[in-house]
Amino acid sequence: MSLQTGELAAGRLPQDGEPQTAIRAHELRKVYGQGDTAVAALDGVSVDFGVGQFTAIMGPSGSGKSTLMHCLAGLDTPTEGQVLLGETELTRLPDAELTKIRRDRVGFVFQSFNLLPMLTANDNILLPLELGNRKPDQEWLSTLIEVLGLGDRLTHRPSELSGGQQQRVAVARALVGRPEVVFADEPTGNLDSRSGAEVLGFLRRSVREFGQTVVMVTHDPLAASYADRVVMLADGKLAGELRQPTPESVLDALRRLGA
Amino acid sequence: MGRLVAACLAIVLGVGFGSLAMIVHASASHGVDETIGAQYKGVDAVVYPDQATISPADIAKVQKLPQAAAVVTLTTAYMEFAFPDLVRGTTVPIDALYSTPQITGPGTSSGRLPTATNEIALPARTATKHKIGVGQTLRITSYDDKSWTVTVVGLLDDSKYVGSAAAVATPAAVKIFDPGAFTRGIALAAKPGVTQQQLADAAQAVVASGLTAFTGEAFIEHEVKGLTNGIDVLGGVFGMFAVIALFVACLVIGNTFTIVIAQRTREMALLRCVGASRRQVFSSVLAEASVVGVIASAIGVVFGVAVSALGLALSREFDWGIPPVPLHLDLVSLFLPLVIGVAVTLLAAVVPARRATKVAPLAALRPEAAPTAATKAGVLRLVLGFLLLAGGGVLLAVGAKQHEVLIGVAGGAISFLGILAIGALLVPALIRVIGALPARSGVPARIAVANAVRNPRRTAATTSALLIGVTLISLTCVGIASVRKTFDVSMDGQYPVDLMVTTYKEKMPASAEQQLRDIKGITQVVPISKLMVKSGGQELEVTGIDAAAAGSVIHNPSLAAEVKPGTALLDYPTMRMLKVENGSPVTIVSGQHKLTLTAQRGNGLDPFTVTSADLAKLAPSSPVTGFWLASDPKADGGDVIDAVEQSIPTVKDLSVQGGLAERTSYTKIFDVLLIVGIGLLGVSVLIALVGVGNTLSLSVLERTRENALLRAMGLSRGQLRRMLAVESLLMALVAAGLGIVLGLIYGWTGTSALMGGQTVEGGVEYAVPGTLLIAIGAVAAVAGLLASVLPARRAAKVAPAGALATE
Repeated sequence: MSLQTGELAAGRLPQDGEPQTAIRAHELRKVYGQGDTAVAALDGVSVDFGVGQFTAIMGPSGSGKSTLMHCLAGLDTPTEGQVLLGETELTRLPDAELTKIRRDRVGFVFQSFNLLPMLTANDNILLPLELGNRKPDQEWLSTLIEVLGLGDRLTHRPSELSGGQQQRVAVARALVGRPEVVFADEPTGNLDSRSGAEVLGFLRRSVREFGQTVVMVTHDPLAASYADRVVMLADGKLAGELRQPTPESVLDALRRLGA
Repeated sequence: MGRLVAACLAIVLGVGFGSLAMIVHASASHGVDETIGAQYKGVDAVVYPDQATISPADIAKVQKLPQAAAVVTLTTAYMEFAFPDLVRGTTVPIDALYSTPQITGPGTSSGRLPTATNEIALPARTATKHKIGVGQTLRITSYDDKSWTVTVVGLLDDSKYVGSAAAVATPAAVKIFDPGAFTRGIALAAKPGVTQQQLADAAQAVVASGLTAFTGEAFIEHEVKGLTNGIDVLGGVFGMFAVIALFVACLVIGNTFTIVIAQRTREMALLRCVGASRRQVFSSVLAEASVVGVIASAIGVVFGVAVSALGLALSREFDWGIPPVPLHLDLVSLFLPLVIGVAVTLLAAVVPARRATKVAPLAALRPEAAPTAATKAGVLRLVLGFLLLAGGGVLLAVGAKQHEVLIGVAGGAISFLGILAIGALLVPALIRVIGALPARSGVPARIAVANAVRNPRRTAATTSALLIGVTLISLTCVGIASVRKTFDVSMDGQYPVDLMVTTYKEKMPASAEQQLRDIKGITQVVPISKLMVKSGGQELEVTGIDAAAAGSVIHNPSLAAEVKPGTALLDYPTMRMLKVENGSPVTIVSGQHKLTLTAQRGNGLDPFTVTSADLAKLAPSSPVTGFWLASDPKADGGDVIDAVEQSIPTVKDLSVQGGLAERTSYTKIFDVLLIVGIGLLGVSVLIALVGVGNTLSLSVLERTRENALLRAMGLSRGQLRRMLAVESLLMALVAAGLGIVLGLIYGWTGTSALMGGQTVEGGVEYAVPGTLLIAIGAVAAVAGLLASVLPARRAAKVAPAGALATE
């Protein structure tokens, strides 16, 4: 497999055959603490995520899935190993560069506390663009708002929105800048099943219809079944993967991990 | 405890300031006690002229008292000394020396005390100033123009005197210099076995009524009181500023506790869950406050003692024109600030502690809520605030209009309380208005504005602390500038000319004008001529000045315009004497010449002033007899007057008059008042800024997740720091802007209330000390930025991932 150069931006449909790599981790190690109390949250993880793919990272609590996502997204720096976003190596970048990458090249949806309480839904959606002084693509923006059904909620503040609406605003924000990768950290963890299904549906649709690359951390087999591929993590190491998962196959795989 | 550091700092500053004020006051009072005590050492009773003068008969009777071992009459002769470094003599009082070993009197620092009538001893400082040494002779002249040559045989130790001390000579010499010298008192020393009270009673019994006999101790107390009144007033002012500083500290502490407790909600709830009663929660908060209060207050007292010691040592080291004051510590000035500091801390913690008791135990079980949107300002509080504001405003207006200072002060205080009460509404509104501009620059600034107003009460409390300091400083600046301008205008009316130099019977040398022009600080010199004339049977002196040049030395333009041909400017006594009124003709005669002019009232000039052209019609070539001078307002008036008095050495009798002396003395007073006021209030501003930094760092702590989210979204460290700087700047600017506006209002109304009754027709000038006010705003802005530095650093350090991790 060769490293892709050039634009791996969203909006391009995946090509036939082996997908191109959007982001790749190589021998990642992340150690917390020192000496006797040192704990390796990631212990030599190498994994690729294809462009235009919806990948779920699964594993029991403490398996290191959140740490893996934080390192991939440039929110945290690994102790050893490399992360390549496109052809940019994130692990050597200073904070200012990482900040720019987070602003321009990746998007986030978190489990909770996704939105700034003092900004309206609209301002929250546009926040990453405005931080980088970029103008939104109006057509894309209205498409997102329409698809996510946020048209009549734009002037509301987060406290006036339901949990599902808040999460949809977060999805819109993650997608509006057409980032190379959208990272979702337990995006349905705080939602009822119907709202959760809605949000997951949107994420899958963004992959299928708009060619967006999505990496999602979850411990919910049902959520993972929305993905094209599931990467299993246990004790900071890769523990197998599934293609075209169903809730049952995910549950099976988890049972085999002894979770 | 770390979170309470800023609160501690506020207490340390407030208490330290209070103890500094008390220690310096106590030391100064103690110093005066010692000094005066030393002056009257050995005196057991004093006969003092209260309502009558002491006659020789009284002295004779006192001298015959069997209880008295020694009797000394305290007399003083005022003599003109011809110091070699001066062109013209200067007056120095000469006290009669005590002619008895029982009463010590002044000591010498070199040489000896006089024993013969042609000997004197000079105060050491006076001798140094005029470069006189022991053994030198001096010519002294009495008021009735008799002269003696005396030898300086010793220098007196005057290191503990305030101002200049008197010279001494033997009683016989003083009697020769001024046979009728005023007797200030009779000092007595008691014979062994006689108490001070017995001696005083015995003296009281023989002297005329109207004279009071004090015991030695009572007299020292009486004298000390006269001197310490000033110190007490100063101590009172200091104390007032200390109270203001403590009040500001109280706001800061209260705010800190409120935030800290808000952040510990879950902790408190957990305590309640495991069975703590409300009372126990309340006591735990108060216990924490008292620990903080005791520690910080103790540090404050130590700080106050250290600064007082340093200040007093510096004042000994450098000559600040005050006698050296040794550090004097008493229990009151050590413990009172400590107790007050602890009390203030507890008081400030009561409201937050009560709030802590209202935390429901269930709060421990709920997931941590996102930072609360906003606590709405209480409606009751707002209504009360508006009522106070309206009522205070009316009182303020009445006070200004009726020139009633007390009503004005009450109105000011009440309306200010109103402003503080509606702060939760007013301050966020103002922040939104000012914030509109930076908000356009981008999202970080917009978030900063939103953050600054999201907790209106907290923001209001934080800015209130700063607002108090800025308002008081602006008020001081505006008030002093306005009072000063009012003084200036009324001085221009009373003394329109800075300096008037005149000779009596001598001629002015031709070089005189140039000599005066060469003096540094003199900007204008206009020659005048004086001529004796007759008018209606009265003899009077007419002054002539060039009409064109008059305007350059007369400060009052409308008065200067009246100096025109055909007009005579008369002062009120002259008008009465000549029985003329404004606009009526007045005729003056000199030899064969006769001139009729229109009389005009002209205050502050010479009694009868005309143009030099008119004067020439009476006496074609009258010589120059004097000059009117204008001086540079920036020059030191005292130096200018000294230089003018010492100029033109060929003239023996030179009179120097005019408004400069008075202007100089009040200018100095206002300058000192301004500096002292700003310095003292600066402490409150410092405390308030500590408060701003504190609120900000606690808010940062509270918003850790929010900031992490922003960082994840692509907010750079620099943007985060700038965001907090804008937030802090907005608070500082609103406090500064509001404070300056209030300072102008209070300063102007205060000036009207204070000065309106003092000036003619209640005319008061309102000044806008623009440079000072801009400086206040700039200092507040810079300080606001500085206050954000530490919290911003802490906020920027947080890694975005760590803060986002779910709990």
